[in-house]
Amino acid sequence: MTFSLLAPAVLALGLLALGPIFAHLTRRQPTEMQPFGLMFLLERMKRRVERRRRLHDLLLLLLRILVVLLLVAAATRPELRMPESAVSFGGTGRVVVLLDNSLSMDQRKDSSSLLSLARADAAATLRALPEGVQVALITAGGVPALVSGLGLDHELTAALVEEQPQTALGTDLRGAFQIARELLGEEPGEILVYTDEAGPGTLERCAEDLAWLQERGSAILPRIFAPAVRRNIVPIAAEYGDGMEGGTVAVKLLNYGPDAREVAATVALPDGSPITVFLELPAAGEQPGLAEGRITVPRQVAGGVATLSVEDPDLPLDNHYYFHLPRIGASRVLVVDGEPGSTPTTSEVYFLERALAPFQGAGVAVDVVAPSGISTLDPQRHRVAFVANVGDPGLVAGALVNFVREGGGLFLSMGRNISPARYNSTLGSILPAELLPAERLLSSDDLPGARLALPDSNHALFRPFERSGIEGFGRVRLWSAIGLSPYNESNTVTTLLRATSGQPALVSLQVGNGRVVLWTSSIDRDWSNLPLQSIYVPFIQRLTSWMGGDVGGAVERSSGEAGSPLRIPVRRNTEAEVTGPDGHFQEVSRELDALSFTPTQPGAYALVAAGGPPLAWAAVNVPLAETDVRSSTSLQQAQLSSLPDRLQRKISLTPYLLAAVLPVLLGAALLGGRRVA
Amino acid sequence: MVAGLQQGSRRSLRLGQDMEFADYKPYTPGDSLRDLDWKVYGRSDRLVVRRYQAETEMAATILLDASGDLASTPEKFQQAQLLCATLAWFLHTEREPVGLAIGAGEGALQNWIPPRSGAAHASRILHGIAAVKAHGKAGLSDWLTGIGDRLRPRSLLLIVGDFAEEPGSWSKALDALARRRVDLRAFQLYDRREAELDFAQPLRFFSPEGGDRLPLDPIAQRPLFQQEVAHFFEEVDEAVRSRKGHRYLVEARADLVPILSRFIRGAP
Repeated sequence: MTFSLLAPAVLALGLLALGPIFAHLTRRQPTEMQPFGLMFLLERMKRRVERRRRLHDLLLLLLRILVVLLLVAAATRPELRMPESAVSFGGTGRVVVLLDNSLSMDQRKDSSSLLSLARADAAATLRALPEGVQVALITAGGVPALVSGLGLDHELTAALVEEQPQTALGTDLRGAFQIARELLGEEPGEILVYTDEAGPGTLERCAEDLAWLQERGSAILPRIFAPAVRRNIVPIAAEYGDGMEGGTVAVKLLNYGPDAREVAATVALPDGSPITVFLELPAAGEQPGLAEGRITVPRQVAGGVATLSVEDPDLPLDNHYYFHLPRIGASRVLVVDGEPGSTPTTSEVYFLERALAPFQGAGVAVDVVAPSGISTLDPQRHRVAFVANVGDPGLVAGALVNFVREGGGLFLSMGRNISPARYNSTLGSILPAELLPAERLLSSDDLPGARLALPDSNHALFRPFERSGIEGFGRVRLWSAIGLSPYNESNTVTTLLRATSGQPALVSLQVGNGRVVLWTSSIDRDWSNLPLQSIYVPFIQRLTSWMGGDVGGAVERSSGEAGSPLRIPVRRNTEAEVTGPDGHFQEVSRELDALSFTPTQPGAYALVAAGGPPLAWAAVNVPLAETDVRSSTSLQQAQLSSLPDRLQRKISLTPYLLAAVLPVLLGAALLGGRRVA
Repeated sequence: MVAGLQQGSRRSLRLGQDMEFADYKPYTPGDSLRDLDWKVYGRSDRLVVRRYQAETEMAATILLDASGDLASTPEKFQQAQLLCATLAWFLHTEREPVGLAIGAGEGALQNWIPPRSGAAHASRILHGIAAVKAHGKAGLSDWLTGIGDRLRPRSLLLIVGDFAEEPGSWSKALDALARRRVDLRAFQLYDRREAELDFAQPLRFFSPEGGDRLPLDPIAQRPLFQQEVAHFFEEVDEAVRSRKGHRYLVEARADLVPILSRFIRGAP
């Protein structure tokens, strides 16, 4: 109910109320004198009526002011507006039940979900309808659907209402109203809307359709289900912070409730192990209360989809947030030493070992073998193999190729022992380009050798150095390097580092699920000063993490929302399926190089080939907008804004005010007539 | 006027106290049955009425209120003067000693002429009445106290005035007079226009004796004031009557004959 003044400017005339007050204060006294012999009787009478006279005068003044105010108020043309339904329930003979089974309907009220309460109410309403009334059912959770068209079988429709599942999807009331429009056509009907009215803009978007329906005589009859207090805590983000030896997961939670709360936020790693922190969530104001925190993860964590969870009984469905966690920490690395030196510092892999495991066992676990020990290379055990200056790879070529094709990372570094021809003939299938004889690199300044150009810091390999350290690559100088025959950059072949003179220094080739990285110079001090640079240790560790982990590896990572289409790229001719959080295969649409599907549940989805490890992961979460359980407007208000004049009863207060003036005026006149001394 | 009044009974000036039997007369209709002598009727079967004669001569004093309020209307004070003069002349013709006291100004008797008989004395009194001008504040209590000391016991006191003071202020002074067995006759003068607050427009009323001015709408206040006046008249009447006296209301423009007739007959 609202109150408005059609002529508010007239309120200024309210100053007229000062008139009676002024007149009262300045009323004229008689001036003509009259001698009087009974003055003592007049004074006696005056004393007797003095108190009564004051009361009388005050009352008279108030009545006169009231008359002026009533007249001014009447002149402002006040109007009272009250909501009014256009059509009463059951009158049109056609009833459409519009059931919101979106995520927010999982809110709890007296330990029952809103949806279960709404279903029970809708079913009872349908069963109570008189025979002959046509009924229909539309759902508004996710993609709106006409579950049951207009029909006379109330029992069937009621049963369908009771069967409607709770979804983790968003609300599309507009789409549901559009279905109702098509269903009702130009004839009027009554639309029973079972909703919680939650979510910003949910109802505002319906204004046009509401107006359309109402203009045709249809009635929108809201059946609002809401908890006593709308509150919800939801995890909205979790992101792994990259680091050398593992790191932290930055988490964010939102509080839509009116109270500040402390909650336990738990990150469940892909292997299931939980890590919990407690976060203080401020109360929601105009904006929801935001809490941020960091959860430290172990140094070694298998990659996959992790979960951030909170315990919030108000809306259980959105208590989990799924996010990608890369493989973290030590990977078992096999180093094949092609030229064991007589002293540690002349050994090909001396610096490599120090870089991989600088803290005596912490970090990467390193196995160092001679070329003859290549048989220890185990794709299930090792993630990366470093092959350093191995002259004839023929003995190890087969094992290396298989290792790479099964998803392993292979780092090849050159040196004096290298025979380009042997490499080309034995490992040609996994080399980014044909190797050419070694060449000396020319200096462009006074120092020997060519300097490395700064790499692209946006590349995943170099992103950790973006803030600091990337300039260290500019201090690396190469004296000699194996030449490469010309090659084209492609999705699979990438030049990661290059000398300022133009020669490729570090080239990557994607092979199946694996990767080959070719360092055209030596990994020891023979052909470059790389081992002596400060960038050496972090670079080797990052390289190992990148090649062996999932950061830049073969596994695709996708993120999406329940109810929204999700597209996962796959290589051509890959026979793969998508499994959902429940382990069941999802119905997918196959394109040339991608699979598309619409997830209906939040959780981890995996793209799996028969018998193989997952080729891709997809983390699917609930629609964030749906977690905002606050109601920004009401269906009633939405109707009013769409067709304000139709659903309002206007009552002009002017006649009532004028009618009130008459008795007040009469009272003032009577009181004025009964004047007291 | 006095000649007409003399047809009444002089006896009635007294209230029957201290009266002595004189003779009988045949009963005629209109005579008081109280005066029938039933013993004579029993002996002679004749209805006769007893007649009385005053034991002593009756000294009367007229107290004229000449305060300022009596002059609030000219008619009121003229009526007071006329009434006093008539009473004085009547008493003179009845060969009663008559005196005069004039009150004007608070606490003072302006003039005092002791009661005596004789034409010269009566003439002096009439001149005194005619010469007085109303002025000053009223002080009835002081006047009565002052005059009480001078009156002979069992004398007659005629007060002519408006009594426009709180009765409580002067009624106690009457007690002293009553103890001296003074016969009291109060002639309360009023102006009808004043008593009815018969004015057509709001006015500032004031007392000629002084005091605050009171702005008033007479039309609005008339009913209430008339109640106040009626109550006041009753208060005065009660104060006089309770001292075995009579009070006569005298309007400023009224014919005095009926009032004096009642006075002479001793009727209230």
